[in-house]
Amino acid sequence: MRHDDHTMPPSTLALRIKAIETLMVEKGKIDPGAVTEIVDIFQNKLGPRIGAGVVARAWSDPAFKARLLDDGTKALKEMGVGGLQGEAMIILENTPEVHNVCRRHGTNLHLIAAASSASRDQYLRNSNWIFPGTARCVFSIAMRKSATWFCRSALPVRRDGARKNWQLSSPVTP
Amino acid sequence: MRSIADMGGIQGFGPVNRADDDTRFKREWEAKTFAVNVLSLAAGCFNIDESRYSMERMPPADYLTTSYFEHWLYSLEDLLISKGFFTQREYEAQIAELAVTEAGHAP
Repeated sequence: MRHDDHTMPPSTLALRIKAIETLMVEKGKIDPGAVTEIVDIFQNKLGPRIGAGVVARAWSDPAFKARLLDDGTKALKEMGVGGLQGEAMIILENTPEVHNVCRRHGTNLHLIAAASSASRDQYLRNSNWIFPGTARCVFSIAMRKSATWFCRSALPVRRDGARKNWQLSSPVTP
Repeated sequence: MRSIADMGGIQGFGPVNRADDDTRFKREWEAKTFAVNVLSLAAGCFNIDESRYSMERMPPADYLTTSYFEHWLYSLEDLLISKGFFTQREYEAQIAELAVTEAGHAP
């Protein structure tokens, strides 16, 4: 579709996506009811509380924390956390000496810690790159451990609450 | 070639709004756009690279002045029409039909 020739009359965003959904159902590409189901899952069943549960357990269960840092994907499975976009999880811990930085992606990542609205803010997407010398970047770590597109990482917040930095991020994709 | 989506290192956009930390969809159309995108991907209508590339080809001025999920909506229109899942004509007709239906339900 050409957007620069302005052949389409202005329509509301709601009508546009409803029209696409209707056509895709008509064409048999999307099952009727599937959109409602997906919305319900992402709106009601997934969310930051899942990640909060993982972090809380890591605070109180040192053995779990060790497993989490050693093999995030495997440890998360113990708590039933995994699946789409959780195929390769890297958990990193911030310490007083090391502050990890996720190069955050604009996508909404609902699996463990849904990305905040702020991370959908395109202006934020550039911020981590401005002072590369001051932070260890997850990008290099992620590339070293796993070079998959779906490699995600998470920075559990410190228990002392020093920094609100629990985020799930996509370090590999721009 | 750099597109406007490749914003790494660009300065001068002002402070990040950290007050807006709500993870939920703000509007129903956002949730639907997300879901239709996921389902179209799952149905093999396009892959994730095509989806990203489509968004990156948005006219720069539009990219900067539209919201996150509007980028998704743009790429859905772009990919589903260009790949022939439905035509531009069908799409416009469907929007027009829905507009009439919605108007009929208006109080």
